[in-house]
Order: sequence, then structure tokens, then C-alpha cells
Amino acid sequence: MNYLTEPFQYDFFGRALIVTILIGALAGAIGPFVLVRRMAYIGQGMSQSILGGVALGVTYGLDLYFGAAVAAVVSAALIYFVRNQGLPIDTAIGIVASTLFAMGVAVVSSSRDRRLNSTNLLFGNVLGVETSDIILVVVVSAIAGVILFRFYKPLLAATHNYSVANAHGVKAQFMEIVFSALLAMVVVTALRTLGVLLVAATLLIPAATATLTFRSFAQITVASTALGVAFSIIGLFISFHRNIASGPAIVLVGASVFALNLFASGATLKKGLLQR
Amino acid sequence: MIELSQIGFSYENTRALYDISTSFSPGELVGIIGPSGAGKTTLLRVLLGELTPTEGKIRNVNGEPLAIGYVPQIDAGERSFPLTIEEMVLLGAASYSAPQPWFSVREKRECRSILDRLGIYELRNNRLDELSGGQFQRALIARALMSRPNLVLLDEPTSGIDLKTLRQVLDLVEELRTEGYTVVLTTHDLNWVAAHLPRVVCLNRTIIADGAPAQVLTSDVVKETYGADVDVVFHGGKPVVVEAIGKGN
Ligand SMILES: Nc1ncnc2c1ncn2[C@@H]1O[C@H](COP(=O)(O)OP(=O)(O)OP(=O)(O)O)[C@@H](O)[C@H]1O
Ligand SMILES: [Mg+2]
Repeated sequence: MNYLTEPFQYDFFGRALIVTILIGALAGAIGPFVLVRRMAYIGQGMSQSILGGVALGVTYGLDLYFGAAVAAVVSAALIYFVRNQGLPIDTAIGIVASTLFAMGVAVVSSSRDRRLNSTNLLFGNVLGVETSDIILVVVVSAIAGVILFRFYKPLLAATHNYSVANAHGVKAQFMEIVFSALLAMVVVTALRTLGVLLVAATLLIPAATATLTFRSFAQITVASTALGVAFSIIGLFISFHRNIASGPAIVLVGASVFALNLFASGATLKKGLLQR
Repeated sequence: MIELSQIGFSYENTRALYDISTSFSPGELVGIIGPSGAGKTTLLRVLLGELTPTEGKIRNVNGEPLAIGYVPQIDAGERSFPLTIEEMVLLGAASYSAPQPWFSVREKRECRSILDRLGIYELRNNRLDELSGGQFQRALIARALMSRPNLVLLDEPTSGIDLKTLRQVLDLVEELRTEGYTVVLTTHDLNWVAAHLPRVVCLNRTIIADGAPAQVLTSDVVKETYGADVDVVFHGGKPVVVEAIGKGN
């Protein structure tokens, strides 16, 4: 029992746990949509992009999250703009993300501001979770939850086949915005605990693990959400006891479960989503 | 009735369609034929409202508001998606279903009766990639019906399926017509259209001919549409085009 109770002697642990659970759930719920769009890099791209916004924002005395949110929107808009010029989406993501990331690194590397600690920004730091972070994450998760609840069906329809959904009366174009908004919410709120480099893993690993076992998209979404939460909790405890950074701990727990599952179901994977 | 008057459509530097004037009445079953690049898909996309005509007008005259059920050409990407058949078909209801993640009991019942009618009820819990081409084709039709359409558009429903499945798709399409749906489909399979559809539109960027197969499918029209040398013979009162035409795809 000690293993489970000991961490709570420290105030930061409870705060970190709330934040990690919510982000794990949110990323887990949205992950399947990211996966099926074959846009595995969009999470990575958007989160790298926000480094530029954070760095500039903080330098000019703005809030960390404000800069991040603006950068997420700019990043999404730029990615769609570049893609609409006829480039493949992964090229668009690569160009936009690395440019904004480079801007971020440039600013961070020349800044003396203590809030621009590059390790924390890149990999997250649970020790830094404050009450204001909790409020933000709770509010944003609630909003994202409502959006997902409201738009699950049209979002799924538009994700599966844009033209068909459009023909059948779904506002497919609007669903693109809904998707980007949900993604931006995950990426921005995960900034504190996961940093910009590890968010993508929390979007992909629970979803990929769930698709190994479950058949319907609904089951996959529920399982992915549950796994996102479970990985976060287990990862956070391990991080505390082993004294390793929380982001990597969470990602590695997820990756281990995924690997075990893959190994166990290797034979049935032949036709699976991950094959191509 | 949907009325197209002098419709034209140009992509950036391709004039894909010009001077298309025709109409589709309720309960009609129409096949659009033409070689690769003739503009068949473009015309469907104009009907879908996905493309806005660059010339001419498309109007829905004195009818109920248009509700389109769309059966796209089978696409491999779509089939690798982790959905069950029932889930995919239900998505046809996404625009009118209540704003919650699940579908109502009534919608599920409607879905199951459609699946049953199309003979894929038993497969409802299968994943999309676990169906044969013909079964998947029917699932796509089921999804279109689930959207409660009055006009059903099918893009190349005859491609890539065997004769028996072709027969089933045809029966289905005819059944839809008798139930009052307006059905417009595109196909490469001239003889299939000739033998089974009451009306055919020969398209090659514009309408070459439009009418009953027996009148329309003369060797001159087919030559003009396909730019290939062919003969049309009659077999059991139906025109049959001999000599392979077009390349198909
Ligand atoms: N998105 C696009 N951008 C530019 N040109 C296009 C586009 N889609 C089609 N075209 C061009 O428009 C013409 C008609 O194409 P369309 O796809 O409508 O033909 P189709 O009759 O459906 O052919 P197929 O039988 O091969 O499916 C072709 O010349 C094609 O190259
Ligand atoms: Mg086509």
C-alpha cells in the first residue's frame, strides 16, 4: 500500500495526477480519430509547432498557454494552407512544424527567461503543475468532452469518407475544424506535464493498442480512453518512485503494453490498420 | 425533378463538361456511360453539390427537397478503417441523428432492416475489410439508404465485381427504383446498361445521346462516345456491343 499512498504526502503529486488523468483521457479519446486519418504526425506537428508560440509569448510577457493556443491555431491553419497548395499532408505538416519548432528553439536558446527552460518545455515537468494549470485542464477537458460527445457521429462520418458524409448532409468542412480544435486542446493542455515532444505518443499509443484488440470504432474509442487514463496513472507512480521524468514514464508504460499486446496478437494483425 | 440546363464544368485547365442539358424524374433509373475521362464522376460530383458548375444551372423543379444517398466508387483506404458494417451503415444517419455518440433504437432498427434487405444482416459485426467486394458494395448502398435519400447516386457500382454479384447489384438497383427512389449510376459496362437499364446517357464531355438503349446504342453513337470501332448487334431484342471498348479501370 505504501507504494500507492506515499506519493500523496507531496502536494504536487495529487495535482499532477488530476492533470495527467484528464489529459490521458482526452488524448486517448481523440487518438483513434488521429490514427484512422493516417495523420499520425499531426499531433507531433502541432505540438512541436507550439514551442514557437510559447517562446515568443513568454518573451513578450504573455501567458504560456496563450502563446501555445495561438500557435496551435496558426499551425493548423498553415498546415491546411500548405496542403491546399497541392502538397501531401505529411509534407505540409513537416514543413510547418519544423519551421515553428525552429523558431521556438531559436528564441529559447537565446533567452534567459527561467520559464523558458528547454527541458521542461520539451519533455514536461509535473513538479511545475500549479492550481491554475489544474483549472485550465479541467475546463478545457470539459469543453473537449462536450464537443466530442456532441460531434462524435458526424466527425466519424466525415473522417471515414469526406465526400459521402458531405453528400449525406454532414457539415464535413466544419468537422475538419472540430477535429483541429480537439487536437489543439490536447496539445496545449499537455504542454506542462508532457512537453511538446511526447504528446504525440499519448495520442497514438492507447489508440493503437486498442485497435489490436477491439473491432468496432466505438469499442476502440472507449478502450483507448481507458488505456490513456491507465497509462497515465501507472506512469506517474513509476515516475515518482523511480525518479524519472513523468512524460517518458507514461509513454514507456504505454509502449510496453502495446508491445506485449502486439506480440500476443501478432498472428491476427495481418489485415490490421497498423500494417499499411 | 432535377433539371440541368447547359451545365459546364472546368477544372483549372480542363473543360471536363460542357453544354449538358437533361433531367432526371422521380423514380427514374438512369445509367451514365462513357470512356475514361468522359466526365462521369465530375457530373456526379456536380449533382452531389460538391462541385459548383462553372456554366449553366441545376435546379430541383417542383419536387421535395433533394436528399442524396451517395455510393462512391470502392476505395481501399475506406475499407481499412476499423468500423463494423453496422457502424458504417449507421453513419448514414449522422446528420439527422440526435447530438449524442450513440444511435437511437429506432435508427438501429431501421439500419438492421436495411441490412436484412440487402442480405448482409449476418455480417453486421464484421469489419469492413472482412467483406467481399460485392458485400462491401451492398454495405455502401445500405449506408446511402440509411441517409433517407430520394435520389441515389452510384459511381461505378459494376466495377470489380463478378457476374453473380453484378446480378445482385442490378436487382437491388431495380428494386430501389420500384420503391420510388431516383437512381443515377455511372458505369463502364456498356452491355450491362444496355441489357438492364431503361435509360442511358452517353457522355463524352457533353451528352452524345440520351434515351432507351435500343434507340441510343447505335454503332455511330458508341463510336462517337468511345472513339472506338465497334459493332452493335441485337440479341433477344437488346443491343449488344461487340468488340472490347475503352480501357476500363
Ligand atoms: N480534381 C481534378 N482536377 C483537375 N482535373 C480533373 C480532376 N478530376 C478530373 N479531372 C479531369 O476531368 C476529366 C473528367 O474526369 P472524370 O473523373 O469526371 O472522368 P470519368 O468519366 O469519371 O473517368 P473514369 O471512367 O476514369 O472514372 C478528365 O480529363 C480528368 O483528367
Ligand atoms: Mg470516374
